[in-house]
Amino acid sequence: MDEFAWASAVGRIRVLEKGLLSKQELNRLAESRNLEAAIGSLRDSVYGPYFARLENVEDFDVALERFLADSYAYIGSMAPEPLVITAYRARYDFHNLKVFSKSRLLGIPREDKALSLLGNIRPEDFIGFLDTIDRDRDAGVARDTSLEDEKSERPDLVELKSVLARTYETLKSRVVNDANNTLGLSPLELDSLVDRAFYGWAQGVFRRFGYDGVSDFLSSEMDILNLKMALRAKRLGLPCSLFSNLALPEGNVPSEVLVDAYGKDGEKIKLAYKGTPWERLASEGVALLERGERLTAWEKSCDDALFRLIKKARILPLGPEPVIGYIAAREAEVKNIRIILAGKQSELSAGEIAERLRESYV
Amino acid sequence: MEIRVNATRQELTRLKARVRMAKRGHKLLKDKRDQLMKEFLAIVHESQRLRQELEKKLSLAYKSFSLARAVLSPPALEEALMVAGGPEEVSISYRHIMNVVVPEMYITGRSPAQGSQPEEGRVMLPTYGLASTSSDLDDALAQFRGIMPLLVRLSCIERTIQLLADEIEKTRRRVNALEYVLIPELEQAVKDVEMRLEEMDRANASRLMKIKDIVRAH
Repeated sequence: MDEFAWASAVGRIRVLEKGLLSKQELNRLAESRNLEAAIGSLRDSVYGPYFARLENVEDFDVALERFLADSYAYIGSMAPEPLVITAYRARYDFHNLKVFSKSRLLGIPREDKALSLLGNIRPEDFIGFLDTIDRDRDAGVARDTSLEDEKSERPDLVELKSVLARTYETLKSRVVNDANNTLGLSPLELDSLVDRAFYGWAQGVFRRFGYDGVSDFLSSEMDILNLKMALRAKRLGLPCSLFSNLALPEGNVPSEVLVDAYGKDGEKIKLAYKGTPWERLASEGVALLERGERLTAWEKSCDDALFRLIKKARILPLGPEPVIGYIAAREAEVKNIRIILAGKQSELSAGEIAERLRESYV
Repeated sequence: MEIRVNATRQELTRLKARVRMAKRGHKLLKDKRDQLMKEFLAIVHESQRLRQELEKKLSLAYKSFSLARAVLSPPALEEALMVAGGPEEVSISYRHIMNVVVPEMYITGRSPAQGSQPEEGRVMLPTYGLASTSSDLDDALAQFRGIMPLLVRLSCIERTIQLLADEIEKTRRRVNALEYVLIPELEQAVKDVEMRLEEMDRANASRLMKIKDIVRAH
């Protein structure tokens, strides 16, 4: 852990934070007449150059993704310990792994639109990377040997590729083992395996570096995700045996406790979260579940609660937390802009859009 | 087209029988047409009601989907929807409406009332991870699933309407052909034959009177 190494990056982040859109600016955006007017309002912001390049305003997602990709690239270049940022950003690499695995292992036609450009590894390089794994496996070469070729690569990427390769191999072995089973590896299980691999590895990286703030944030994210998944799985009527494969194991609330509670009733889920900062959220969620109501507003409350946690990074002078906080802030901002623009595109009322807007960082 | 027949009593009897038969057929076809119209109108009303219900549900489902789309990034949404849900089996049987064979379709294991609910004991597994998606997506997909039985029912009803409309059109043509062509022509032919026979009777009578006069004169 070398918090002082992040001093320069934190200084630059403080400058970048000035460009974040405030709650009032987002609300003004939500009140725009239509999609064109909303995009017009963004022209003076940091998003301006990205929207100016669009031929069709309906393709706003392209502009937002390009903006996030550039932001990630810039932040990655200033990070003194790149693996910390690489690990946080790796969620998009694992997302791409899901897409490629579904197409390669489950025989589903690949959707290029499903590939994210935000990962550490570009999608076109990802294909070559998976081809190498498949070739090595067919040739019976151990994975570590082939990684020798990657010595010229950045160490953070080598580690990421190694964990991606392991996850891919696990998925492959599951599919092969289940070849005679008519159910095979379901897409739900595949996604869950990849999610667990990502969170497990990212948490390991943050703990290894000793950055408790980032590690706590990730644990909290997993707690919230587990809670959301438990309630959704209950609504969908998924059996406890299946939920045990979905729950992320690195949260503050042990996954075994949650799985055990899931097998019983809603009250037990509330008890599992008793004494945690998410106790109230758990109670509200369980109440909604019991009344059979929609979880949309509650999910927004969960996102806001998590966001309030990362907002604490704004007062930290050193360490990777302000940098991660800024990335999370930009992601949340892009999500808010997408909610507004997609809402305008679908002609939703300003009220309907506003009630879905997440908290902003500034 | 004029019906050409020999002016004989036998032909007259035959023509009268044809008129009776045509009138009976006309009445039966008219009854069939009326009954078909009754069925048709009932099904059209049902179709209108279903269409309205479907449009309402579709608009809600699309709205839910727009919201789900707004909250998720496009790659996340595309990835979640890469795998289609389990296949739905549609069973088809047939029934008769006034001798018109119309299809009856329904999704196996789901009555229209069940909507999005899976059949008992069967859990609909999502085809996407729960960590990277939102409940809005579950709701939108459940709504679309609920629409499926309605869509199948509506398609079945629309096909029935098409078949009934074809049959009504055919029956209407037949009724009109009988009412405005065949029956008047047959009646005209009967009238013509009767007139011809009467004329022949009168000619015979006058011939007989003439012969009588000649015989008396001698």
